[in-house]
Amino acid sequence: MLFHTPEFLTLMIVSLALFYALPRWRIPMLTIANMVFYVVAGVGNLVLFLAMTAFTYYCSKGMRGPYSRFFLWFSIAVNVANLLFFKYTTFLLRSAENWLGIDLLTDNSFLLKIVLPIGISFYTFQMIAYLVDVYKKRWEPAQSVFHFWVFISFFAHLVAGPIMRGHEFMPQIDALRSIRFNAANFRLGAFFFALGVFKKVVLADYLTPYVDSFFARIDTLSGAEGWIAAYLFAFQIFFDFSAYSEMALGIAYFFGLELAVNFRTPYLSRNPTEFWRRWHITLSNWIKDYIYIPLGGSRKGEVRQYVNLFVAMTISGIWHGASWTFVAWGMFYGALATLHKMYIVLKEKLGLGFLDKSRIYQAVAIFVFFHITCIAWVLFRAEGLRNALSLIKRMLTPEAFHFAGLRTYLAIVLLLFALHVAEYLLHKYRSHLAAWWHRWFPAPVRAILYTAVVAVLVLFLKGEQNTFIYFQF
Amino acid sequence: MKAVKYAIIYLIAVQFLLPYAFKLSDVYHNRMDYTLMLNNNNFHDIDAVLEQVKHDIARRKLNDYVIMLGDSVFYGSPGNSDQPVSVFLQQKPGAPVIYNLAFPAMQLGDFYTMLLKLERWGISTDKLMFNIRYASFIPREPGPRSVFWLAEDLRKLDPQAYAHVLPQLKSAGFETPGNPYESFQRALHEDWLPHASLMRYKDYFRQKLHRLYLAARGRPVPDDALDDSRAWYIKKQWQESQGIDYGRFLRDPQLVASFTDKPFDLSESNWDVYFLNKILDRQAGKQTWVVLTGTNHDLMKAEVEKPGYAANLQAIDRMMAGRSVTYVNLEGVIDGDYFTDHTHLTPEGYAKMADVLWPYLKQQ
Repeated sequence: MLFHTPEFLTLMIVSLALFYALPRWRIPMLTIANMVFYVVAGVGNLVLFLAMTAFTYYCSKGMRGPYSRFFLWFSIAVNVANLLFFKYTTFLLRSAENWLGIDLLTDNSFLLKIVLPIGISFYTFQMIAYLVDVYKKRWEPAQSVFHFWVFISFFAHLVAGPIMRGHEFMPQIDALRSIRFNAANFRLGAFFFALGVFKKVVLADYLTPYVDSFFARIDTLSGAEGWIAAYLFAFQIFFDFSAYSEMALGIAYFFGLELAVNFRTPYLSRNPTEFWRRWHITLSNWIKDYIYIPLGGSRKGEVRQYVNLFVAMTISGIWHGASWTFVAWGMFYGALATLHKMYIVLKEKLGLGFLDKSRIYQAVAIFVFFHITCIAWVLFRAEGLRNALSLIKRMLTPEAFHFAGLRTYLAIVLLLFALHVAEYLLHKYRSHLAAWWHRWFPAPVRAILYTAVVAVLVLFLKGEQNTFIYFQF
Repeated sequence: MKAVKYAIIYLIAVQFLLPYAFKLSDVYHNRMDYTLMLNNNNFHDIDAVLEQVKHDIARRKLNDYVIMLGDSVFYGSPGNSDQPVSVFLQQKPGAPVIYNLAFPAMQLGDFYTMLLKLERWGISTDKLMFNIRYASFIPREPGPRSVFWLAEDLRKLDPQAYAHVLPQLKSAGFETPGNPYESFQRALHEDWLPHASLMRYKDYFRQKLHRLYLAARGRPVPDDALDDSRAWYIKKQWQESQGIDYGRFLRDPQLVASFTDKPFDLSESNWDVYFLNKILDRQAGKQTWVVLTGTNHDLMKAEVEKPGYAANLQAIDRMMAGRSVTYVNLEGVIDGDYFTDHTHLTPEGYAKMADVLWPYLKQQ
């Protein structure tokens, strides 16, 4: 169920009304609401999700006994196997067919009919994080299987994150009954929700047909067209994914809950390390805490650090999808992160550390890194590694930077980047702006803008709804 | 939170005032906008047209106007919105205002539903003109749906007729809710949201913005012709010069079926006769013109010369005789040179049709 649809809004309003009217029934109410939200994706998917949730919960309880290590590895193995089966079976078998030159799948094989349960990548990672935290005694097992279900399946973040940790979200679930209606939370919720809907309905969905039409003819794109396609996709995927995350944040605030921020204007990053602190923040924190650090992080020497970084980013790419382009994308960022580490060391050795304070250097770094990101997005978006590499090759020729006939698109891209900068300023000065807004504009005047925002969002809603890009992961 | 209360009041005001921010010309230009509705997959846009027609009638204090219903022929396909027969009729001296609410692919079931919608909107159908064709009465095997676009409206406005026709609709691919969530979705999208003005006008609002953008850039509004409206023999010559087999179009199974010479069943078990009777029952005591728009006798010579075809036409004539309508049979009346295909006319052809129909309209 998409957040920006009348169906979801109706269910959310009903849930909110019951939430505040019946505080003692919040856990049961959210238990059912989450099930209703998820069952739309299919009863089978819901049964699987419930089964995995119950299994993980009871394994976490088992970790307080003598076989804690067994329960940890067993539960992680089952969760990973569940994800592998639904997400990677066909990909692995097809790859093996190509390598070995034999047929492993027949045309009517049931394995070809496997449908990826929605949100499986997100809830699997959330469960693994929870299991590790409970094992390491960073957190105690949830009070009840229902508390755990609400923690894992809260409908705002279930389908595409943010990936919440036990210490972040479980205390809020445990204290659900004591939540009182708070006007400030409601305003914040409305702000984030409206921002998300605006990004999705007015920006992302209108970019989609242009991006699709460019990538549909990837073979024939010139280098300049490749850059335009990459720029537009960069903003399409950002608006699309950050829109979902912001709507999730807004919905949570309506319920008096706080989810983790997942995006901080990532295209203002100067290097890959910074990018992954600004893009899909909860995923990169998860990769750092549960892959990179357990592999040794930076504690086992420089070379090992680079290897760990490369492996962690590759896994991040694989998580995104069952395709070699995603693997390549992850490896690309792994290589970038490694090179960046080396670059920092080199810069310090050459005494060029002062450059980091230079605004010109920072602007150039943002410009250069944004273009590197766009190259990575070609890997992410293109159908097939060969197509992606071929287009990247064309994008790196000198002729690729002649945008004749594409000036309108270039102007749109510049406008979108300006919006990105505006978003940065909006978040940076949000509380000042809010105070100024409430101080200088009386309620009837503020209401005009709120009404206009609602009207614009409804008027720009398309008949056919585009789903969110990250739902496919 | 005070601002929220004001916002609710403003939204209620928008609900009632938004329709007055639009004019008839924003939603209707001699006919409804088929491309807009198709591209947005939103046939509730028709409600905005009906609302503006109602406002137009009230604003101009009209007592004498004609409502035109029909399929693609009365819509003026494939020409643009300045070329339907209604435009040429309104150019005749003393002609009444004609609101052309025809729409491509509408069946008699849709005409009946439109009649109910017009009544719901308080628009008089004291003068109603609609077209039928030979193809209107061919057996449905199983499609097309006898209520092609407006089945959900029929469900709300005449549940009995809807229940009666539902098996035929389902056999032709119409889907009904299969679980509670789908029922909820249908109620939301078909029963509740169409009442919201913002939802009713959103497609026209975006179109208006787009046209303002075009005007600001000095670009004309694109022509809204649906296809090439030149005479059929000119198109045939051009296609053949390009190596395209024009006969392929004539061998299309749907086209062939629409000229079947098997005897028509014109009892009420024929869905079109069922809905035709419902229309005429509702129009009792009112002025109704039923126009059987003809066929291109040059292009479809082999079909129209079959004895079965002529017999079926006579059966339709007999069915319409004795009804309290003005029945105009245009079969073979308009020369083949005025057609752009087997059934649609060139702009000159629609002007010719207007010349033929005007005496019937003028009489009343």
